Amino acid sequence: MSRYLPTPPPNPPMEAVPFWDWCRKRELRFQQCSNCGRCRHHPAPYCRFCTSDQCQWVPAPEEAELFSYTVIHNAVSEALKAYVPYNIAVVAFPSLGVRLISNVIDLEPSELRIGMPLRLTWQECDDGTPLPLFLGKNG
Amino acid sequence: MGDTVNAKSHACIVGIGETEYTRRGGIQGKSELALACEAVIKAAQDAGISLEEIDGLASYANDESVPWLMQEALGLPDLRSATMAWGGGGGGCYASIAQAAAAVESGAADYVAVFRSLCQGQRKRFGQGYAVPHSPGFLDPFGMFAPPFMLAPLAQRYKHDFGIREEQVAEIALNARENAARNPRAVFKDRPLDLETYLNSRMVADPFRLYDCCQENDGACALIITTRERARDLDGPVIRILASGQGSEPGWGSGGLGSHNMPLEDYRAGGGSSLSKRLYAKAGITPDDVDTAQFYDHFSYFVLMNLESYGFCGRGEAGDFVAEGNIRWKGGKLPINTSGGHMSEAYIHGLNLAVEGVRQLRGTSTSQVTDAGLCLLANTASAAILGRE
Ligand SMILES: [Zn+2]
Repeated sequence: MSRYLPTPPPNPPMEAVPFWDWCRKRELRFQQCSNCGRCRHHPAPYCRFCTSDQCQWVPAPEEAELFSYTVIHNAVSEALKAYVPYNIAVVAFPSLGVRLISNVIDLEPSELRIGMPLRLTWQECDDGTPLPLFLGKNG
Repeated sequence: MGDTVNAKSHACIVGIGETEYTRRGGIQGKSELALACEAVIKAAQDAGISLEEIDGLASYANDESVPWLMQEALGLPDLRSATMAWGGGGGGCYASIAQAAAAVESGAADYVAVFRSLCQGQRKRFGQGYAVPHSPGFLDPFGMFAPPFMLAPLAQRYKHDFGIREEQVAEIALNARENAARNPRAVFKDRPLDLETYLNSRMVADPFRLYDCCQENDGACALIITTRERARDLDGPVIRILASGQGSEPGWGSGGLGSHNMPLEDYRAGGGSSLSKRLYAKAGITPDDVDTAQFYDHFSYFVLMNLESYGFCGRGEAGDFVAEGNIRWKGGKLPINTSGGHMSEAYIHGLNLAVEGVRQLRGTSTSQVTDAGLCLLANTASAAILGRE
C-alpha cells in the first residue's frame, strides 16, 4: 500500500525516544511504571500516580478501538493536497489505559465510527521509521 | 462577597483601547509593535491617565511586542512589572488579566496595560500549520498540523456522546454574525449568515465546518488595570475584576495539543470544569447571576462545552440550550459574544472579548444587555468575572 500521508519523521523529546526505538523494530510499546504498574502516554519522566521514575516498555495488543477522530479537508501544504481528505484517529488501548494519535489507512471518512475495532499495521515515513497505523476493515 | 473583593487594593479595569480590526493581512505599513502601542495609548487616553503612569505590562501567547521594546516605544519611565502567561495559544488570555490584577493588588505596579497585538499578514499565521512547541512529538507524524486538527477530535467525541446536531451548533456562528451586524468594528458586519449557508459550508476538520472556526485577523487591543482606590479617583467608569484565573484539569497536558490521553470527562468538557467553580466561589456568585458572557469562540463546539462547564446548563445539554434561543441578544437568558466574538468581530485571541465585556458593564455595547452588572469571560484555560462598580 502506498504511504497514507507524507509527514515529517518523528522528532521526539528525550522521554519519547524509546517509544520510537521500539517502533523501528515494528513493536508498539507503551511506558509502564515499574512501581505501580500503570501505563502512561505520552512518555514522561515520572509516574503521575506514584512519582516513581522507574519504568519498562510493555507491548500493546494488536487490537484497539477508535476513541475519536477527525477528517482533514484542508491541506496545510502543497505536498498534502493530493492526500486530503485524510483522517486522524485517536486510538484507545483499553487494557493499558492509553491512547495513541494515528491514522486509519483503509477506510473512507464515512466509514469511521467511534468505538469501532481497529488493528495495528506499520508504514514507513520519510526517514524509514515505521509509523504505527491502523486498519479498520475486519478489525 | 469576601473582604478581598471589597478592599481598596482590589483590581479594576479603567481603560480600553482598540486599533481597527481587519482580516489577516489587512494591515500593511504598520508593525505589530506599532499596533500594540496604538492600543495601549488609546486605552490610557480612555482611562484618563498619562502614559508615564503605566508601570506594568502583561500579555500572553508569546506576544512578540516584548516589554523592553514597548517601554522604549511608549517612553515608560518606570516599568516595574512585565508578565507573560505561558502558552502558545490564546488560552492564557484571561491569565494575563489575572497577572495584571495580582500586580496591582500586591503593589508590584500601579497601572498595568494588558495587550495583545497581531499582524498575521506580516508573519506566521496563528491558525495555520506548524509544529507545536513543547509537544510530546506525537502530532506531526500523523498529519496533525494545525489547531483545528488538534481540537476537532475533542469536539467529535463530545458531539457523538451527547447527540449534538449541526443545527444546534450552528447557533454559535449565527448568533455571532447577527451581533456583528450591529457592531461597526466587526470585520463581518455586512456579511449576514443563515442556517442553510452554514450547513452547506465546507468541512475543514470534521466536525468543524468553515463557520465553526474563528477568523484570522490583524489588530490589537489593550486594557488598563489599576486598584479600586486609584480607579475611583479617575473620571471614567470603574469595572471590577471580581475573579480571574487560569488552569485546566491536569489532563490538558495530554489534551488537544498533547497526546489526547486526558480522561473522557475532561476531554469533552472544554477546559472550564474546575476553573469555573473556583472563580464563582471567589466572586461569590452563581451562574444565575451572570448577565452576559463572552466565550472564547475559536471553535464553536468549545463554546457549547464551556456553557456546560460554566454551569449555564447540564453536561450534554448545551445543544438544546442554544437551540432554545438562550444565547441570543434578543430574548436570550444569557446573551453571549455580543460584539460578534472571534467568529464575526475579530480574533484578537480573547482580549477583544474582554474589551466587549467592559463595554457591556459600561452600558456601551452595540448589543447592550439591559442593566448588565456581571459578565463572564471564559476560554479553555483561563477566565474572569467582571462586575459593574
Ligand atoms: Zn506508578
